[in-house]
Amino acid sequence: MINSVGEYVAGEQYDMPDEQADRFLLLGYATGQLSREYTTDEIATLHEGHQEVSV
Amino acid sequence: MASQHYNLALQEFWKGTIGDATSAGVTVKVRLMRVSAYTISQAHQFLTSLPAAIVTDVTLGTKTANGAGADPGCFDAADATFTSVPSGAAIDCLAVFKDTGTAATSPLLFYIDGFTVTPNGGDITIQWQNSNPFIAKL
Repeated sequence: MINSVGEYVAGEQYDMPDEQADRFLLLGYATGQLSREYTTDEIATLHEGHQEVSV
Repeated sequence: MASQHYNLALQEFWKGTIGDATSAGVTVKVRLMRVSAYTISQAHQFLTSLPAAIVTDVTLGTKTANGAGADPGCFDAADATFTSVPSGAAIDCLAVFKDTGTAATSPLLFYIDGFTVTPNGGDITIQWQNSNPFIAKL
């Protein structure tokens, strides 16, 4: 994991369902191998609503 | 209010009871909050003083006590992502605490405000400052 996401801790490795792993990869939360290719529209949908705030 | 340490945490740092907050064996979490629901007090010591979690608290990882390596005393960690934060009023403060597994014994460490983000149901990533004091400096 690059980011800490909920109970998933940055710096640790996890096995998780493909859909969740792909989401984390596409959003930049983790590194790894996608289970399949995603269309631009699918990636855009995943990013909808995601906000970043600097503190 | 301004971002600040909890003084009772500083007391415990001096006494050495917090432990090595950068170690994997010490769980340090972040709770998002609203200033409308929480006013920091230096009388607050444990997690029981905070309002209920808006969304699942995030466990910090890749923790350091020297910022990015050249800033001794600065606590830093990888950015924290809160998933599917329910839509609602703006979130504008957070607290960092050591999770012992029991709210009544989980010490509050730092309080941070000065930001605002209005949840829309999506994820919210808290990006820690990449320079001194990073998350917080003792």
